[in-house]
Amino acid sequence: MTAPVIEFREVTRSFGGVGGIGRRTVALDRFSLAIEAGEVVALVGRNGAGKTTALRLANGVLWPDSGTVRVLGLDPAANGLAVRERVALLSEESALYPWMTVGEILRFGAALAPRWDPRRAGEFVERLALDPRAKIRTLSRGTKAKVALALAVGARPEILLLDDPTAGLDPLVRREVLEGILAAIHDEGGAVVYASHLIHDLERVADRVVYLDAGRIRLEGSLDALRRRVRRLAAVFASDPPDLPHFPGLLDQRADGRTLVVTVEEREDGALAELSRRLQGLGATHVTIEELGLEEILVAALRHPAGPEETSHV
Amino acid sequence: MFRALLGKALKQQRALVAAGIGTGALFALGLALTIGGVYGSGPVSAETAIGSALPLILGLGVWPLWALLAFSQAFTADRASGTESFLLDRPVPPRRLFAARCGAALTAWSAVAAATLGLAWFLARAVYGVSTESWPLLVATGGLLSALAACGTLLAAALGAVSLAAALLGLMLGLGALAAAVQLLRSQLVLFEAIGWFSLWPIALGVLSFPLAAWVAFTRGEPGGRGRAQRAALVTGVALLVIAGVLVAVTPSLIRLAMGGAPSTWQVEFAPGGRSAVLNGWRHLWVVDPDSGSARRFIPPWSHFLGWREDGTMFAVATRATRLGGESRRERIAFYDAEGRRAAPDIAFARDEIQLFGIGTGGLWAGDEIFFVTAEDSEQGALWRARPGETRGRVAAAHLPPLTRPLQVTRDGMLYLVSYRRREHRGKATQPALEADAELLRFDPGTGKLARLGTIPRGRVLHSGLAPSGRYWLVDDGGREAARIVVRNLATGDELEHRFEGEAVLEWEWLADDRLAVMVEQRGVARLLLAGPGGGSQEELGSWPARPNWGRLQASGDGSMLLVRDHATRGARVFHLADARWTEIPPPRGLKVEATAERAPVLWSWAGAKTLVVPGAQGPLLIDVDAPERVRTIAF
Repeated sequence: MTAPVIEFREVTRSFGGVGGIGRRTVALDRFSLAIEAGEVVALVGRNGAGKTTALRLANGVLWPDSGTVRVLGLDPAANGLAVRERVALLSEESALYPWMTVGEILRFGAALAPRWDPRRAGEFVERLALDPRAKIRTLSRGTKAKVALALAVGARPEILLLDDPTAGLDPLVRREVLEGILAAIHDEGGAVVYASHLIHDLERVADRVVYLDAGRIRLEGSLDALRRRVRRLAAVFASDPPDLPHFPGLLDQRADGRTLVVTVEEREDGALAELSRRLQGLGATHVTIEELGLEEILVAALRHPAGPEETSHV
Repeated sequence: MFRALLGKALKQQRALVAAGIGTGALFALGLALTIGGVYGSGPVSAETAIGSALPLILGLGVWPLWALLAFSQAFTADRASGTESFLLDRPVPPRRLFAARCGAALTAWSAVAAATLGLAWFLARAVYGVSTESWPLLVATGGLLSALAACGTLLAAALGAVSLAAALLGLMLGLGALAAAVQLLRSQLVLFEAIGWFSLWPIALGVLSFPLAAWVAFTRGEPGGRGRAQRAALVTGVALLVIAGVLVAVTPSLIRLAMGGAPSTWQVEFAPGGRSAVLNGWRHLWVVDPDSGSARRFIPPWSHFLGWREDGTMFAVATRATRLGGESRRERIAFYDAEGRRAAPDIAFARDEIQLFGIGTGGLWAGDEIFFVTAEDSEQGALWRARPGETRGRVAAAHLPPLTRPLQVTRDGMLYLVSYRRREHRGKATQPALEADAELLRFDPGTGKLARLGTIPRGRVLHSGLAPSGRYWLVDDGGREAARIVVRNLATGDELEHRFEGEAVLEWEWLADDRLAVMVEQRGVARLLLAGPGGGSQEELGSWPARPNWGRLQASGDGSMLLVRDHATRGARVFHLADARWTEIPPPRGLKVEATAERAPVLWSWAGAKTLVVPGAQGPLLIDVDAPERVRTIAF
């Protein structure tokens, strides 16, 4: 087994407050995650869940309060320049100088990237139909995202950190950008960490999903495993359904008339059958088990208040 | 990479440079319009508009403002426009980024300064033909102000707090202006006045700590910015502490240095017995230990030495020093012990007591009290007495005759004063005529009575002297024109003329037993004679070839020895009155010898019961009479 290209180990990072004065907001709380080469990992979660913080910690722009971060075997806090030479971060609102032209910003980006590949950058400019003479300030949001992508892939990163770069873009542009990302990562055999709210996009490209909530991982696993393990049970009762007592892996339960809809993660083989029996024991006359899409799984997880140490690895 | 960063930063400055040059050109145009009277209330001369106003506006206005704008643009524009992460997210070394930003700002400012100065110079020389002689100072001032603006802006960018940076810059500017004003205006502020122009250096270093703070803030730590303001604040705080420490630490050293460099300008006031001494400079007093030669304590400035008490345990100064080292308008008497510590509470005076005239040139201790005269030069002079431990001074004798000064305290505790009487003049003439009389006064501290003892011509005061007992007054020493001395018996008023063989009296000194030591010149030979106050036989103690500017005679404090000094390269000699023997004191190594070495007198004097002091090149030299080869230096 190869060493992970990105590894977070018990990483905590907070913002605000200086020297114990002022309120501190914990963005990541003992966050641990390992990402292998060639993986595309989706980071999902609400706003403020810690996704951007995790990416910036990996890029070395932020430093952890505690815990360790290793990227390509390096500590980004101590070797930030070396890490950023091999890692590209592409963010939602890519900070492009509005007074530059596309050509100028590509040349400027090239001067700042020791591993810059002009041929590759040129290919992307062509593929994304970018006009080198166009001023950045005149470009649409989608075109700016394409420019940022060209800048990112031109630097030939081994790891691509994407902080929702396609948010707000129309489906056509999103598809173009995503295809570009996939092509780039396929070429280099590197890893991609993709933080986004766009679950459908993630479903298309991600190998693994990490669901973050309040700085902690609530749910983690490959897409296949999540889809396989997380199920929805619909139990029909003769009258108003009772509350389901605690059950391991329970993500969500809600009553819909006489039907109790339960979302559960099957942590052990036979757990679904056991839950079905319990529901019948509570008076359910009919129990059905359904497969779920990723979005439904995440929405269920989102509804369920996490316990302090509650993490699911699927 | 640096070129790319610099190029990008320079492009961001382009509009600013154009605006700066345009602003300078607009000012030039506006002022040119005033020359022809097109604008303004009337025609203005080209000398005024272009020769004076334009460089003033550029140097004090446009350039500093553009320095501020250029550095603000370089260090805060990306952050403000949200594009800073473009650089942060890439492998850009923070130090190169900092250097590129500084370089771009400096280049932009230089372009504005050069273009506007060039335009102004062209107008002045080629168009209007006015003088630009005064411009270098303005250009330098403009450069200095621009540098200050740049430093302040850098700190503001690092701290993320403009008001704090402005306050710190203002503090530095205020201190610098204060230090400069103290020197330029000769004002009286203890710290800056004491260390001179050096005081500007720590302040300048303080301003230079601002870019250092910015450098540490921007190039160290997390690129995301956490801790940036704290790092900047830490560097600035440390720098301010270092500056304060340097100012406090170097002040005594510099004062010592100044004293060591010019020791002859300092009067050494040795305590009776020689246990301690006060180095009396213009406005600086140091208490020193004559044995070790080390400085004991610095007496706050705005103090002048009044005198040691007879037992050598205490001395008094008249002072205007405030607790903060400034100068008060009200004078006080302060008492210090031999170590330089406060020995008693200060004695203050009401404003209408002595404020108008001030304490005079010196004080005399009689017993436990010090006496001094206020308003020496006024018609309304008074003799004051102050006793340590009391809080108020008291008038001992009011309405003194004009121009009265303390003279001596005799062995019986009587205080003698001399009044330089003057003839009546109409109008406001107050300077005494040379032919006026000087009157001797005696004050009895016990009874508080003031007695008038007689007069001598004023011109002879410098050639007169009171015997230690107070019984005799030498009223005429011949003025080097005759070998005679006239002594007046103060009890009877009788005068006795002492005649000596020779052409002139060179020197004389009263001895403890009221005998007179007299140096008489006779056919090129200087003879030292002892004579009784009432006449009688004369005893010759020694003779030497007479030389011009022969040194003076001085009896030791206890009256047991007589110092006879010689020329610089010949040393001095001491006569022991008890056993009638001489001790030769060779000139010590390190003696301060002027260019006219052979003819120059050396200021030998007693520094204790058996110790002599003489100016040395590195500071006063102390010599034990019993072991003249042992020479010690008072180190400043």
